[in-house]
Amino acid sequence: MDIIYSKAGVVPFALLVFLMLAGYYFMRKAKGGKPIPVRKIAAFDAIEEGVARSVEMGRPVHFTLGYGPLSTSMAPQYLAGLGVLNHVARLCGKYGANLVSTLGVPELIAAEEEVIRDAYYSAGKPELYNVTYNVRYLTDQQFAYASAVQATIQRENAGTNIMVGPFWAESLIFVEAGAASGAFQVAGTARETQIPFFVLAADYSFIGEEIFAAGAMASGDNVTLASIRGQDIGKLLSWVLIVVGLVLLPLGIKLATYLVM
Amino acid sequence: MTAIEKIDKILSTRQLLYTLLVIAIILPLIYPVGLPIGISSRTKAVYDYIQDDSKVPPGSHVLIEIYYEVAARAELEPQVIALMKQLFEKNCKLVFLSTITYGPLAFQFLQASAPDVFEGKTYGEDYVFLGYIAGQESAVASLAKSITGTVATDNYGNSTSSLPLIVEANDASAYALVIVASSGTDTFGWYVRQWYTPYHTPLLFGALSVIAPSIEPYVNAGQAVGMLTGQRSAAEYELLVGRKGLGIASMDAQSFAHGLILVFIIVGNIVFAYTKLSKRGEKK
Amino acid sequence: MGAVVRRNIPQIIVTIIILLMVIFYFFYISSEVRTAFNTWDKALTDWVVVITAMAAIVGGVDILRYHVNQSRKKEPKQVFFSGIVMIMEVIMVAFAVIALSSGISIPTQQNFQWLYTYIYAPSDAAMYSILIFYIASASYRAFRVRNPPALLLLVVAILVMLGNTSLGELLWSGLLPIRDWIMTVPNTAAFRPITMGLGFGIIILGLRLLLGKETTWMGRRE
Repeated sequence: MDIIYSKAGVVPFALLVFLMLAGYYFMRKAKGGKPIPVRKIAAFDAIEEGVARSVEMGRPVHFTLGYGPLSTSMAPQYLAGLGVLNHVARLCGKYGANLVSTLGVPELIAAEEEVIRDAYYSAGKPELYNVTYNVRYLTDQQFAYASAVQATIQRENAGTNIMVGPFWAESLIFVEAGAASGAFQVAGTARETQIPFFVLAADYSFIGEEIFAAGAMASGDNVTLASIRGQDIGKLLSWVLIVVGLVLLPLGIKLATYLVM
Repeated sequence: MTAIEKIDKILSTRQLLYTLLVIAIILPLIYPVGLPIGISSRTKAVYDYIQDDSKVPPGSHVLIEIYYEVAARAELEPQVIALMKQLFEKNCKLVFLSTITYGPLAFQFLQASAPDVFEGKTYGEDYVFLGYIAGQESAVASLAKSITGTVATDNYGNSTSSLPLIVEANDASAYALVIVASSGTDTFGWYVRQWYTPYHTPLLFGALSVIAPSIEPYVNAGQAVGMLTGQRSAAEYELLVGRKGLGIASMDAQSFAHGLILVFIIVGNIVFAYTKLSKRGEKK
Repeated sequence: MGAVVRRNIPQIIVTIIILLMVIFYFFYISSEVRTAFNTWDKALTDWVVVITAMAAIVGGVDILRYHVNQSRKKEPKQVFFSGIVMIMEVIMVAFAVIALSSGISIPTQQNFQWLYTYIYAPSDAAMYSILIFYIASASYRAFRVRNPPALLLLVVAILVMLGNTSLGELLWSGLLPIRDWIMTVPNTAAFRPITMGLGFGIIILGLRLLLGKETTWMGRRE
């Protein structure tokens, strides 16, 4: 049996394994009882503030996950959004807030229903769970979804508008709809082209990888939270490689060619 | 309420801003002003690349991916039309395809918008439209290996093996250039991984202006020969190829709309600074 | 038994698939194994298409259920709106069933193309165009000089916006090269770390999925 490395390369594989082992190492440390400090993400803390604010104003919390098929490179963002929804739903259960969750991913309808139901039941507020009210699948077509979410935010008069997931051109439509309704807004996406719109117009935003960290923070589990350290190791590694690359470049050595071997 | 506060209240009204914007956009479209349009070095570089016979020889084959829906037509279609004009003038053979379901409709609109560009060109010999090909990146990878192996018929039901153009250029090695006109971000990565990396087929990107920053690394790394972004690049390219189209027609409206937004931002900042200073003065 | 079916079996499936995908992306074992993997990969992709289609049906039923509930509230505007949505949905499903059973390809029908070209496409374009208004109002609110970085942001925004338009040409021809430099150098430099950070985030999310620490996708806990 011949094992020959494919064109994907030895070095990328080694880097992938290294990062995963780094994440696993910190998860094991946390399991052993050692607390792993993670910096606070303002947007994550702001979610509770937003939910409480909605309850005071007697207005519902609106959450949206994004649209499109699940089986694409955006799938991790849907998962991160689902993790944040879990957190939002638990807070809504804790404070007794109404939650309207819109989505354009038909494969996640059942998962969303169960997450929200679970949250309200765990908080002892099963009477607040109403599947038709809480979970609204709209459509998986971009601007039909955009206009439906915009209408939902304004018709329901959302007090807090939380958007975490992959968003495209509709991101600004959502934040402006929220702003027009006077909603408190927390937004996050890993789609680089839309991050500036959220930072510009939302009250708090998760930038890029922070949505994955938020998903881990939402779990409330130290071991899961510790895995974020793996991301930091990755960043440290990239700094080292950039510096080494810069040092080697004047010597005529292009580090990039070795990194794809 | 002071005068400044009144001004701030008026300017903060969305309805005023939106009304002025509508006027700023529609008026120049009806009564064009003809503001000058400079050519940026990046657009010129793309034009020079295609003009260079050693890079894109006359009569060579070019693949064009149409990956945009109707909403993004205004930015991408003028780019594609201008590029097509330049390529057809060099007697290049164009193979169009789409890996998005709206692609066939976008191509229909393209043909309807540029009948002069297609004039005198024979379908099957000078250009072909393969239609919508499902499979996204897998489809792109498969096309690089064999077009007839991936797509049995073109958009109009003709067997691809019977089309002279496809018989001549059945895989990535036969193409002098691949143009990816996309409103998404993933498409560019597919072609970099499946056409450029294994076969070193030169790539040219046509993108929305908002997407430009995320595909800049590909151009900087040399994985793409250049890129056109947004209506501005489309207008510049139309000037270079000598065909006035939607790009140039939209520039006046774009300029006035941007100008209006800038005026609002600057006036808003003046009001904000004045209010801040007066409050500081009152505190003292 | 319920927990095993609901939690353990999906987790085992996910773990096996992640490991296989990583292994076969990086390693070539033999042509027989590769062919077998490609066959399974194609089969999985086909199943994904089937599941997506079934999920779309679930979505359609969900929309119908929502609007039936809404129309029961007897608010005149809501009843009218929900009524239209339900009628449209039923008509579309009816036509789809008729077309499938008689072998007609709907996208090639002239009436469908008319609906798409003259109703859907302009609506789509209109929603996209609405962004200009929202960008304008967002810019007016957001570009307030509250601190030095905000001032820098404002100056750069003005340079880029003027560079993008013909008004900039009238003012000074040097705005275009400045815009090009801003978009090529600092802008790309700012985007690259975000892209890299995303990659690391996705890898660690994959690790959590592999180890069964990411469970929200499974739904409820009990």
